[in-house]
Amino acid sequence: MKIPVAAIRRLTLHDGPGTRTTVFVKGCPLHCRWCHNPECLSARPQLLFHDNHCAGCGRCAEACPHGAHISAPHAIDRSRCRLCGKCVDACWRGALEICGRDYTPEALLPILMRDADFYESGGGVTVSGGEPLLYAEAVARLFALLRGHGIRLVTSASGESAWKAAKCFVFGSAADAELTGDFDLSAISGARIKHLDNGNLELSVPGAFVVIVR
Amino acid sequence: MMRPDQIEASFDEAVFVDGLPISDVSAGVRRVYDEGERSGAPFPVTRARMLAYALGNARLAVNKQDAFAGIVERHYLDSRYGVGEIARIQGERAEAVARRDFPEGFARTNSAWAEGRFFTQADLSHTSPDWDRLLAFGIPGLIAEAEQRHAANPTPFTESVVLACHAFRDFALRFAAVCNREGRHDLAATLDALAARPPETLHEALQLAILYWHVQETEGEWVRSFGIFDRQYLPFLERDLAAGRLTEESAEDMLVSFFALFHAESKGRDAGAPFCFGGYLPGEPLRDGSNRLTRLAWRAFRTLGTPSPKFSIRVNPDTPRELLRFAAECIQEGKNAMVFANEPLVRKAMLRRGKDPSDLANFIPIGCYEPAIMGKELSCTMQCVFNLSKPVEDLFADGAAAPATWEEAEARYFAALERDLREALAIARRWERAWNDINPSPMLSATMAECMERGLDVSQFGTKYATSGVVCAGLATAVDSLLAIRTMVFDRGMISFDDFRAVLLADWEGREDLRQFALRRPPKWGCGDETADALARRICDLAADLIEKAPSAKPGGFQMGLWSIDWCIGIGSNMKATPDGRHAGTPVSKNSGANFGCDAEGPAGVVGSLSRLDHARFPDGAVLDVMLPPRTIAGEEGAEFLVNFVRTLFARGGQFVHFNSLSPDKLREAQRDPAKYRNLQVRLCGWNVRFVDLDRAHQDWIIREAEGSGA
Repeated sequence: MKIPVAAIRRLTLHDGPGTRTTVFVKGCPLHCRWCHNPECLSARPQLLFHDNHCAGCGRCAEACPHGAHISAPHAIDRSRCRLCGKCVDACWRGALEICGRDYTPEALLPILMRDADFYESGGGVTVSGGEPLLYAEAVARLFALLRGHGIRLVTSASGESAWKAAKCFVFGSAADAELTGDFDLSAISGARIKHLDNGNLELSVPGAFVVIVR
Repeated sequence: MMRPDQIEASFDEAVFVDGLPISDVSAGVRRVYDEGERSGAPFPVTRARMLAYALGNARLAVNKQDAFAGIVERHYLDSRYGVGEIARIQGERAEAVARRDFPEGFARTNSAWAEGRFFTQADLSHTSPDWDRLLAFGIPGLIAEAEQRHAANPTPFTESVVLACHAFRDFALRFAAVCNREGRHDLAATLDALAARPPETLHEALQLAILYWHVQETEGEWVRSFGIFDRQYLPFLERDLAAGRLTEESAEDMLVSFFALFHAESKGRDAGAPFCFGGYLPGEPLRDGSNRLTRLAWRAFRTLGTPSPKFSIRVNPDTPRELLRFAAECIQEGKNAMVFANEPLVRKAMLRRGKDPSDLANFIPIGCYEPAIMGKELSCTMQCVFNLSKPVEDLFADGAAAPATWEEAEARYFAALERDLREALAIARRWERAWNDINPSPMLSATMAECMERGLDVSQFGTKYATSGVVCAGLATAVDSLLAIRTMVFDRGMISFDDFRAVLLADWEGREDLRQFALRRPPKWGCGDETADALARRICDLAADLIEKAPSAKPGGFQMGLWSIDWCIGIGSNMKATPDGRHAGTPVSKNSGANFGCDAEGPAGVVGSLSRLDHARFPDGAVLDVMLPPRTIAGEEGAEFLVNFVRTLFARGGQFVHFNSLSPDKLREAQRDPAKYRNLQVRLCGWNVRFVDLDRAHQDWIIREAEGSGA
């Protein structure tokens, strides 16, 4: 049960109430042209290149056993990259980075708990992305672990293909999930959430939504 | 109510109606001094006569709309104006004393500073009177006590105190006469009353504080705290409210006028007038003392929005959240002349140094963020400024053999650190006794109960506590440099130690690639990195051990501070390039934080690193500068974030924290168009300034901090 993580940002203020840590997962069923976290589109690890740091020294090309780096000017032949990380280590200026590392919920827990005292007065942990509900079971497990420490949780989801997973997630029916309690589901982009008579939920039209776990 | 700019103008356009031009006052002060020296009079007595002369002849002004009598032409204190006779005499005597008593140490302190290594001095600039006693006794009470002591056991000290207290009263009466002459009979009546009895109303109490401020600073010591404002003045406010003399609104207006005086005097060009708020009341169980006056004063602060005065809050778990929230909103508006103090931590540090639990309720930040006990402590918090990063440079000294291993390099750093600190402390100790020869301080001493009981001036350590601060600067530069050596020379073998020496001597010329590696790749202080944090802890523990155990002339001994203020610019200007990627001549790291641009984990990482240090070992203070982009702290979330940040940092054992929220683009525009940004203020170190008043080096330094740029 793993979550591919693109980045963990500490003391975020705009991903839910209060002061939070935000986990950006990799992988999304949508490919919106305006996506502001494009490194989160693919679920697989990727080599990121910060061109403002690159001096064109060619150390990456020397270090790469697969011929994926072309120097002068620097370019990456991604079809050759095997994500071995040798270029990352060789770059003196920190211009290369492998984005995407798998974490189990248990491995994420201590990382997210480092700033637990910052979450007091309304903050907590947000799982964003990418599409967190591609990994609904693992995220639900992570939330159960964090809830065990009294951490308040938020996740945001695209709703495009993950609604079914979300219902499992919210109602705790996913394997290992022990979530109970109250949830706020806020639909955005015009969608409405209907509470059905049988206690189930239905999204009126496909659309994004945010789950706040109380 | 006058607007702040009107008060400022009233100062600038003051028409002086009494006294002598500054140059004549300075000449007269010099004459009194020369006569005293010629006649062989005890210097404390001469010093009191110099004070009396200056107070008796400085020009005074009062305007029709002034709420207080407070315009005094007193540049004779400041050598910048070329007429600073008192400052000049202090300087002459300091040098004469040092040349007489420790000529080698004096020469060494000059050469050590030229190397950016350390600096020692007789620090006269970090004092606070006992405001509680001053307000309770009033001027006549101080005179009566002085005369009684002098009659019982006359000494040069008691004579000097009597002279100083009389000069204080004469000053009040002269100001009253000026007010009468200008038709301000209301202010004259207040001043006459203060000459005859202790203050009874809030207006009288504040007027007394203004008078005392002028008197002590004319004596030659800056007033580096105005005490615990809300606690000291609450009884006066409550009496006035009960008697119908004031409403909350009129009291707030009065406070605006009062605080504005301090800004009008300095206009942000000095280190600000410090006022302390909140914190525990005396006695058990502990109760926070924030009150209605706290709120009125902070509202006045927000109305003013000027670089001076500067406020501090003693924060404890019982501090009302609304007060912290109000402070946070001021910061959002760019009115950030404030520092937050972790009261429980400071109390712990003070108990560790043997202070009485019953005195802790009187803790105040002296100057910027140096804890001391009001009215009971002579705290020379900048007796020594020490650069923790200089011993790194020594590893690369000419002729020094290359260390064979990282362990050897590290051991040599620690040995050099110990050698330098011992040397600095030995010289600093010689300065401790010099104050009495340089500038005995009868007026300040008169406010201190123990000085009067013991018959000793503050400069003779008559106070209950006397301490000397050792300011340790450049922690991040030291840690990052050592770990750059470890990573580049020993772990990765990128460069030999000798070649590294040549690169640093050449200030990285032709090796920008290496410099970029040094800036970006090795572990850094302030990122929660275990290796870096453990090294920082060892450096601080060693320094604190040496400082605490060093022989001192004072009963309270030396104590460590972890801060730099803007000394980090002066220190850096005298240093070669360092292995952390820093260029020669540029500033070393600021206060206790990370190098600019090296806090890869943001403020959470810095807090994580700081929490690995034991801040109770820094009784001379430790401060974190937090620079946040304006958009980060905007709105409801931003204000709550600031409050939460202070609370969390303090729960994790930080000591002081203050904030800037500046956009580098805006600062650059202010450099281009200063007139448009006349009122843009920045929290420089422990005080606020108008950005456009800074010199270019300081401006560029702040811009680098705002953009988080280590390059």
